[in-house]
Amino acid sequence: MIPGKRYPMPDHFIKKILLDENTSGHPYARAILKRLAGTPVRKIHMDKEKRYSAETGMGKDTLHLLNYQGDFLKPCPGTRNYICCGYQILNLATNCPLNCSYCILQAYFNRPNLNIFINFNEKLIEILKDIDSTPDRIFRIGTGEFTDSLALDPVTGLSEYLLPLFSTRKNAVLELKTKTDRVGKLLTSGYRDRIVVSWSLNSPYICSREEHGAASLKQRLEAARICQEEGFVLAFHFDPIIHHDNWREGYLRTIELMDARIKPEGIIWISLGAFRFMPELKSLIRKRHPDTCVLDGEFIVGLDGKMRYFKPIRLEFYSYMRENLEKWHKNPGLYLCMESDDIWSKTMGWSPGTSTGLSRFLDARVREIFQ
Amino acid sequence: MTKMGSIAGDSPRKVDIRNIDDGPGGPYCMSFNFDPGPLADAIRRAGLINSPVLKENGQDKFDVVAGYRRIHAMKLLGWNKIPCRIVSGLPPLKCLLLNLYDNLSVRTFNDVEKAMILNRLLTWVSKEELFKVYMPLLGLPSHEPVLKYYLRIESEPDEDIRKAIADGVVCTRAARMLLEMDGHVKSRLCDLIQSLKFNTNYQIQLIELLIDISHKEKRSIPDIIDSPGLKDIIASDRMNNPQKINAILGTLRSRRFPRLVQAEERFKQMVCRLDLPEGVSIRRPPFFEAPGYRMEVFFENGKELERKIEHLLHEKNLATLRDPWEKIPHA
Repeated sequence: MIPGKRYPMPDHFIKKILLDENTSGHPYARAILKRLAGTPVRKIHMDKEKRYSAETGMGKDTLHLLNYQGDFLKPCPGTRNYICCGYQILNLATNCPLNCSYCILQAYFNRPNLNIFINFNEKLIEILKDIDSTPDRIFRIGTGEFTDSLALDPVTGLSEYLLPLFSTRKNAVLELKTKTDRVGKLLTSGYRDRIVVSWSLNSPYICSREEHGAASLKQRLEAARICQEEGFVLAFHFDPIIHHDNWREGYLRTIELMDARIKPEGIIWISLGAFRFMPELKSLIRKRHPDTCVLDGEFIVGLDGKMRYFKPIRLEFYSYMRENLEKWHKNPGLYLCMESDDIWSKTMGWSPGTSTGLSRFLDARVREIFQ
Repeated sequence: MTKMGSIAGDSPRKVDIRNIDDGPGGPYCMSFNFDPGPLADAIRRAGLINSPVLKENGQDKFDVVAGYRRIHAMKLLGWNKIPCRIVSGLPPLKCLLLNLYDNLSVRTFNDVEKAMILNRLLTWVSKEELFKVYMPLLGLPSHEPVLKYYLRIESEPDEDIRKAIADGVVCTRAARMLLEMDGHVKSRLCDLIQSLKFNTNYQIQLIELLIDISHKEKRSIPDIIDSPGLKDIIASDRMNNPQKINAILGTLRSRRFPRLVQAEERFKQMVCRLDLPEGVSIRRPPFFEAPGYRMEVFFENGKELERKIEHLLHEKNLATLRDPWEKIPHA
């Protein structure tokens, strides 16, 4: 949300709140409830709640405030036989109010609703201790893997808690990844160092047709422009790249729109990842998004058991994107998400060889950009 | 779980067969697609050993509680009056369970019969009890989608499809996909599967390919089946069923995965062009996804291996072997 402009608030789509009994007195829960004053609240005991199924729906209109007992910081699940970036997921919330047809979360979690973990503050203290105790290691941490980092920020105010904690640490960066323009709280925060604001981008056709509820491409890039102007380091993720008619023109148009708004030297990295999915996601996509085009491509079973585009199609995607992004800027910090060594070599002209190699490359980008 | 208690029926009494409501929609019926012939033959030879159990339905007529098959067999034998035990005042759930346990002890149920049982039980017991007690009893996993599938079978209006499911001609996974489709589409597909006798694996491949192509090309499935290439294969009198199935799946695969199929063919051609010694083969990884290719050399002794390696070293075309989507390198 850009100051001075009016956008629908998340309370526009949050129709009810589920409040776990043991979170009702928590100051963070109270703050969220205050922001959503007027929204019906039901106190529940979590164990009695139904699990997600195609029948129950995903509960995208229900905010569930609960305590989480699992690990708050975990390595990106990665996938076997492909090179992973070594990103750490700060797991503060699960599920997403946006409704992208290709979203992996449709098959990933068995609990419905937009879940916000109220007890994160206590757990963060331990995580920060770990970060501080290994000063030679760079922690690349993000909140955008199991949810959109900013879609609910006007309600949760998570960025207000997180930015001061990460901005003051020299061996960590916090990446907030989004498909929205809800950057209002970031802009008013005053914290810039060690914070990366990133956007998932796609061709205009895919953005408008498949990313339901997300900000338009222009809105996203406008928000990115303002963030950059306000001193934030940016990143972009062309992930998932999707084959569709005139995909070359489409992705090129997106790069042109970036060029019109963004200074490439302020970008820490740009990732490229062709659409891939667990086989069980296919029937869910067909059911939830019958008119989608994302399943039309030639998918084969990858080495990790996930469905991936047939190799020469991926080679074309990455080579084309690299060629055009490097025309824009000679060193945009390009990397491939979950790809094999040979695809790296054939499309990027080099390969990190292993996940450790890719981590080293991205850590070096952190050192270079944040000095 | 509901306790059965005892069934205090009277001793058998003769009931006019015309007064017995023995249609498949009966409240306790769990028999579908059976041939009463063998049972009729047995009754003719040995007589009726166990009398069917009936319940008055209040209009001087009777519902069948247990013994649908026996009643149909006796009808076939031309009996007008048959000895039956009449239960009165037995609650519907107990009647249903009486029939369920009576059948369970002597036979297995087909999928349509399981669907009938679950549907009828759901009128009287909670979903939780169905999951906990009755689905395991029927050998079914207690999952919501499984239940949903069985409830859908029962509401399937097309008798031929229900027969195909009951006979196992259409496998469970294929049936689940078929039941999601519009009436004429599933009938058309079911006919194709039955007429050419697709096996389980091929049924699934066929349906998945057709669904994908239908979405991609924005054409209906019957329209795809009627397209010239497929229509000719189906109508061909020069191919037997297995050949037709292979040809149909091959045609659909080329349409769904044109680049992959083209790459497979090109690679095959490249390998065929090589003058490989006998016992030497070159394989590609599945879908060309893993890097590299594999050569296998069969030999019985070192001399033979040496000879084959020598042969390979002199094979000029070996250098042309490459990823099939790559352009031919300039000399």
